[in-house]
Amino acid sequence: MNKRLLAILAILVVGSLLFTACGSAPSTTEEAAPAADETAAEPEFTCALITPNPLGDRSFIDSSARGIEQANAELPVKCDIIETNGVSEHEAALRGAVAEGYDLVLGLAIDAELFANLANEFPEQNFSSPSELFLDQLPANLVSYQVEVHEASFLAGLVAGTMTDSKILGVVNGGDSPAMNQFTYGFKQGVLEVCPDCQVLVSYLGFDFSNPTLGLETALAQYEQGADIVYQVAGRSGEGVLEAAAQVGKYAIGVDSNQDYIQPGSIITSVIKRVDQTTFDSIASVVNGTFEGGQFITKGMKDGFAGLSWDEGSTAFEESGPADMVAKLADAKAVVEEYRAKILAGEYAVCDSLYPDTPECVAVIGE
Amino acid sequence: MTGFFSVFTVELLNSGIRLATPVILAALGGALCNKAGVLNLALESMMLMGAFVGIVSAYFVGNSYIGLLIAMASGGLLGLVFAFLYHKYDVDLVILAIAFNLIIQELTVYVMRVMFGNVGSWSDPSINRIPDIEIPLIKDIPVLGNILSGYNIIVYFSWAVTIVMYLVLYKMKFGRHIRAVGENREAAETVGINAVRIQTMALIISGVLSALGGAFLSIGHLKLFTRNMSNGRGWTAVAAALFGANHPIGTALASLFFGLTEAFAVRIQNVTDLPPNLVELLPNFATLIVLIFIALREKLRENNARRRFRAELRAEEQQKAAS
Repeated sequence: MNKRLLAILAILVVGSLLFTACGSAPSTTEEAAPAADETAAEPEFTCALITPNPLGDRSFIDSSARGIEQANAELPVKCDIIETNGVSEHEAALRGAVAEGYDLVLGLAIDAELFANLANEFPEQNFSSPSELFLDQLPANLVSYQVEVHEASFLAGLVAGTMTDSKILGVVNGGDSPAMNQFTYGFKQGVLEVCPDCQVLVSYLGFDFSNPTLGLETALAQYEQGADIVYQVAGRSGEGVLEAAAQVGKYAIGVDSNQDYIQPGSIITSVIKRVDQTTFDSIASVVNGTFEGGQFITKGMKDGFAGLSWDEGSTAFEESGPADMVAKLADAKAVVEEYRAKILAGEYAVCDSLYPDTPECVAVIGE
Repeated sequence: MTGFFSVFTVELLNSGIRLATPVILAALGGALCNKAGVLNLALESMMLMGAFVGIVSAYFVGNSYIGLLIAMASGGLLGLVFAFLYHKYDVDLVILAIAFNLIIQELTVYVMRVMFGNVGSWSDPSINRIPDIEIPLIKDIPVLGNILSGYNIIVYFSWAVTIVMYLVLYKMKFGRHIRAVGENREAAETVGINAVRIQTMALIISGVLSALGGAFLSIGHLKLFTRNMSNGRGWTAVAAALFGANHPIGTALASLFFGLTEAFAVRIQNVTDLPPNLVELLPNFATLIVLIFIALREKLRENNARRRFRAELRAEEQQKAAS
């Protein structure tokens, strides 16, 4: 009897470990490549991307994964994607990747301290962070890209401010931090620029980026309060925001990747953060021999690393949106291009929440 | 900004009720198991299973109501397996629950990826959300109509289950048997009650209810599945059953309390100057307070019992001394 009990327990435990292994730890997905250049010679470089959460957020993480795919297809490299199930697995995954001997280890949205310490511990290993790392100084073998999203968010704010009927707009933000507020303040400034008497509601989700139910209820609350366009900056929780827009027949703005297609006709546009490009660039720099650790590389709208889904030719809203809203698109696009030109020419400054003391930020945050 | 009291609206209640529904269902299942003397900490896995099976079968069958039924069946099956392992092999209930929670969390992701490709969340435009229903007559009552009407069938079902479970547990013979098994299994068996059968049924029912709560998340509220979609709601349900002292109505109200706190935290951000990070802690804080409250209540009960016991002892001694 006791033996049987032990056997059952063993099966359960082994089974659960098995599935854990399948779902999370080094489940290296070899993307694209093989079919294309199976015959190609030994890849010169190898790299690995550690994702902060599993693939499939249809947003930030998937964008970075596309960068890996692109690198596999266009560069003589072989890159793997190592998925993790959240913060607790980041360090183990990074150490695992270092031990595997990859030429470059990319860590997406890894805790800055952890990343820097690890880079110091392995000075021979090249590291790159395709997204922001908030550090004063980087170790000599770590590069950090920063994609400035405040300007692109500002453009989204212009769109929302131009197209709103109720003059109330919403932002559902994953968490209250300077990095996340780049989205919020940029958007708010854009709204107020074209619609000074508009009101912007901001709700934070307490860094709960994988709770679409909460995202849905939060967005519903904003729609009840009169908002007619809500900008979501909340990862997978944001999918609930997009769903809410479709449920109540109002509108949302997507983030990071082109999300216009997720709820066709309800998502006006998406703010694009080209993490795929920073991912690709960091791999390319190693291949070209231009990789130089210890530096922050800032990219933004002017480099084409941030913008709106319209820039990529998304017409989902034009095709499926209601006629009265579609009719306003031309105006919105004109305003966007007007300000884009001004910003690129340096004639207009958008608040960057990382520098809250600038006059443009004081004006927005002070609201 | 508008005044603080502007958040107390009918919509707050609507939102709280929607957020509470999956917790109510799972918590009722948990309370029933507790009443039958079998601890079910696997509510989380049963809920997650229901969320996944619900949306997948709604996709393949093309009817979300049938998706609900299949989800409930899957939860019931899980409850049956749980009962089988417990009764047949005497596996420790806590270990069993941990194993279930781990397996289901990864199994759903594994199957999702095998079936639908490399995704972390999955949805399909062909899936219909369970429609909201306005109840005739009730919906025309001012204010109350807006509070009570306009949800989907799962919400109404959760209310019905609350009442039915109360009636069964406290007004019917079968309910008396359940409570008897929970309070003293040996004594119940002596009078011929089949304790194994009763506990098995409690586990199956809790699986069915939790899975329905899960399906509410994936096809009743949203229209998508993401990994670990239950997101701790099964554990909230465990707490709610405790808070409600395993009484169906108390448990439902406790779940509603948790739902309302969450809805409140969502809304209050726009009307106060409190830092958002503090406001977001509100639901967690409420849970903590509730747990402290439960602990105090237990303590008080123990103290009372001890005091009564001492008083009896003293009375006995006095009697002895007198004689």
